[in-house]
Amino acid sequence: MRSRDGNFNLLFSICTLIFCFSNLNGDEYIISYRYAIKDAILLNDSLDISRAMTPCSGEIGESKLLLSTTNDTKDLKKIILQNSELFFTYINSIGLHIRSDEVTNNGINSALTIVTLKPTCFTVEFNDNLVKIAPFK
Amino acid sequence: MKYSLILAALLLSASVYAEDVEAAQNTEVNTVKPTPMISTPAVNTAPAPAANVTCNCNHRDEIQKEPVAEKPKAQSNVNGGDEELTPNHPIRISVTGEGVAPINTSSPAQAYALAKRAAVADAYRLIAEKVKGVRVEGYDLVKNMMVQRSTVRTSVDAMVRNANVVETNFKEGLCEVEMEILISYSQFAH
Repeated sequence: MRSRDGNFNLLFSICTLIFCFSNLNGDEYIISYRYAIKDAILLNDSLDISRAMTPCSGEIGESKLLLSTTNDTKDLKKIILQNSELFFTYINSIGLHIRSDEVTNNGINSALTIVTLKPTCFTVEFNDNLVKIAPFK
Repeated sequence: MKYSLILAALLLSASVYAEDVEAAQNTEVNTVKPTPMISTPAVNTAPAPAANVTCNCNHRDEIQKEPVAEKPKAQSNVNGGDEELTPNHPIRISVTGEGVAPINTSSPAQAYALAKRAAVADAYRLIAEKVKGVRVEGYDLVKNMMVQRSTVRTSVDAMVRNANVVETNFKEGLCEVEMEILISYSQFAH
């Protein structure tokens, strides 16, 4: 027999399912990266990672990166720096912004190139020894 | 009689000399005339005396050969510039970037990593220059008819996506990274 309050059990189970599926995508992080090259020598680089303050919009991209971790840490920056080569190869495929300025003054040349990954929202799933990263399009 | 013979010999030599001078003047005119024709070779279509024709043809050959000699060649470290982008034929652009390791590195591995980063950035710049183009600005400061300062600025601003590292070489502090990018007609049309 149906109660006056409606089917509470059904509503509860539906809400639980929605809550579980919404969390399947993992945490959302904003990652940006920038490095500067002056006269063919790396001048500086900076990797900025922060949790997304608002939910990211868009679809999750198909290209995913799997990073392995030795310990059970959830510090994404540490994990990325441990697998820096993999991560930088991965962001090459996402797309990087290039700004290069070259000045030749009385025959003396000097060049400054800045490569930037604009702040991009990534979904990050932490598993036991594996971290899965995928960008939002 | 003796004087008349001498006079006749003098006249003969004078006439021969005059002919030589005339001939020399004619040749001078022939070599000077083509000068204005160099600037407008297409206008010179009228038939001319035989000597002029041969002379003009020689100058025309020089004019036509000059651009061939000055034809710009593709940069040695950028390949794939001569191909044409068509809907059925994507272009593969391959570049080689170079980077140098800093002096104050703690280990060879760090030197390699930093040099590779610089080489990748250089390769990106070359790809952007090739695909999007370079903005060039030149300034010359001239004072009292002398060049005081000559400055050339080049800048590139682009977004590069889906570039792949093909090969990496690290030798004596210099890292060379070969990168390539496949550009399809649909991507470039935007």
